[in-house]
Amino acid sequence: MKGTAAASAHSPGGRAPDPSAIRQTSGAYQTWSAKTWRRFRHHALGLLGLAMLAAIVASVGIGTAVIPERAAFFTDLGALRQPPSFTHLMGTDEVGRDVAARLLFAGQISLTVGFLVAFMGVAVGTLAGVVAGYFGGHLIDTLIMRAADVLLSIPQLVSLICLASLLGPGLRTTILVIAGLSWMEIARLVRANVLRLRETEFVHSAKAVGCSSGRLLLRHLIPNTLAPVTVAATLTVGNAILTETALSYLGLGIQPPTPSWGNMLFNAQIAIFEAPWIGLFPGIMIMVTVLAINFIGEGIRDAIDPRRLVAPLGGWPGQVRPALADDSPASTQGPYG
Amino acid sequence: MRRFIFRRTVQFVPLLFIISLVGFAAVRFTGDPLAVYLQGGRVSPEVLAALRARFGLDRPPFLQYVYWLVAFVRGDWGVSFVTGQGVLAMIAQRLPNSLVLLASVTVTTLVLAVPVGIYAAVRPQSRLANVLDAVAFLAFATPTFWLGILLILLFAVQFKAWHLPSLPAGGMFDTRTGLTLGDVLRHLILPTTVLSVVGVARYSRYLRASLVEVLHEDYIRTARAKGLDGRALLIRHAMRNAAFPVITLALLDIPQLVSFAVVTEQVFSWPGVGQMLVQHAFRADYPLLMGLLMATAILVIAFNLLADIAYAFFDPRITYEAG
Repeated sequence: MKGTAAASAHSPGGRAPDPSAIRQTSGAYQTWSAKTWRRFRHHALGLLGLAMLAAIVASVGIGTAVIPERAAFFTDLGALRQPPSFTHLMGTDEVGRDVAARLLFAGQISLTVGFLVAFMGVAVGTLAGVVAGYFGGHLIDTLIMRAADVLLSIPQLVSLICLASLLGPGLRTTILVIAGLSWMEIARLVRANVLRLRETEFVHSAKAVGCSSGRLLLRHLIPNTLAPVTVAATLTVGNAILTETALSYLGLGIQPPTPSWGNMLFNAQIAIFEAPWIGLFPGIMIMVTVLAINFIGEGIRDAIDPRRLVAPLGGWPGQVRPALADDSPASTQGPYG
Repeated sequence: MRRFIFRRTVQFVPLLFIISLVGFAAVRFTGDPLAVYLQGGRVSPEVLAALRARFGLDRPPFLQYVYWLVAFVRGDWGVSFVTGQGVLAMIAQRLPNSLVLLASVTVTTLVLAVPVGIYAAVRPQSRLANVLDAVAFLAFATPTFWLGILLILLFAVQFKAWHLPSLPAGGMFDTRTGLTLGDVLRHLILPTTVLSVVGVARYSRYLRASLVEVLHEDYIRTARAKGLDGRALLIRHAMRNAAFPVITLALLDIPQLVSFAVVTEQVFSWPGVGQMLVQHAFRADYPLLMGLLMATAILVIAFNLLADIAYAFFDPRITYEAG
């Protein structure tokens, strides 16, 4: 049955080919997402990052479920600045709290803040970028891009400190403020992509067939911009964690006694001479987490566009040159290519 | 060229306006400045009203902004709530220290990033290039201030305990020896190292990507065919074209360094603008915060302008009329 369908498809005057038969006879058909996932699965660095992140999330999740929350807040004034021992695996801090328990609960907060901020920033940025790109050249585009320019003109930490001072430090302020300052890069990226996609043939043909604006946005434009946005979103998570850490270190982010990797380092500097373990472990956790996230980002980036990998100096014929900025938009392939 | 500079400068002025407007609105509308007097109930309403009139808070907000703007342009940036000194004087006092730190970081970063970038571009598969790449990954993931704390622990504390020559743990100069160049340089070593780590990682990558692109161009192939090779090829042909995007990026990034510098100044107690920002943010010193916001915005815009000029200067294909 398969053979005859194919045979009749090739002969002039034959019947119209059966779509399912074509799908079977034309070899393995894989969607773009399946191909990308396959490439990611073979990327050593990406897999390592995924494993590291999974280990961190798992240990934080299991740890916070098993250890009572009291342990992170209980100040044992008789055991200030104790070095690591069997009772306190990572020692105690300057008010007698167990560093290990505090580290786990701080991980819960820092990770949640990081992912939440990245999610909000990416959502707002994608929306702004799509609107600005789709109506490129009109007033709304100018407004959105000028707003992004204004926010980008002020160094991020300076505006964070000013806002945190105005709104009062704390968890809610930290999330809002960091999210509010991380949408611009994504918006720019999405806008550039949408502007480029607007002129492609498949969008023109969709419009010619009578596709409505909403359907065009949803079914055609947004799925094709997902590739570079995914990479940028991954990097935003790492950035958010580092920024929250810095803000909390300065004392303007998450306030003690609520634990966060950043504010564990807040008082660590004064105690650095006598009790270096207070500052060592939170810093290691931050570094390992952000490293894992960056590895995953590299894996995704290379899975999306394998031609990006650095070539030998001679290059190969038809090679696409690597772009200067590391967060360049992905190849022109989309879900249909 | 002069017309180009003039046009770009003019385009940046509205941006400054908008930033000042946003900052002013943020400060005025996130709470009553006289709220601290409302607590306790010991201040009578008449005195409160008189205070409002005295500070001009009973005027419509837009008029308040106009008064602030006029004063700002004339050089009167207000008076700090905390120290009572003029804001502009305070910033001017601390700004040179921050600029010294930023300048040393920029110079160190570029001096180190160039050989690393060139090596990674010319020998991409070598073990050293891979090691440097791995180190770059680590650099991107490390919190700056944590690295600073660790370096202080090692070089200032432990070296002293081991009776080795140690580096100072903070400050800009030793009050006993006074403000000498050698002393400042000694105090600069640790903060500069901390800030340069991320910068070297980033710029060596930029340079590598740019150089790889340039080395594939036809004119390089021609030069090689004509017998030019090695260092002469690199410097006379490749680096000229590869360096200029990196330079423009470096100029654009310098103001963003201010963000990193804020935290580093806090770690090393460097008496700069960033440390002042953090100290006064705690005390809600709004005039100073506004002044610092505008100062950093001016810095960012000035360097954006420099980057644009450098871009137009290096690349003759960009016409001056394009703006």
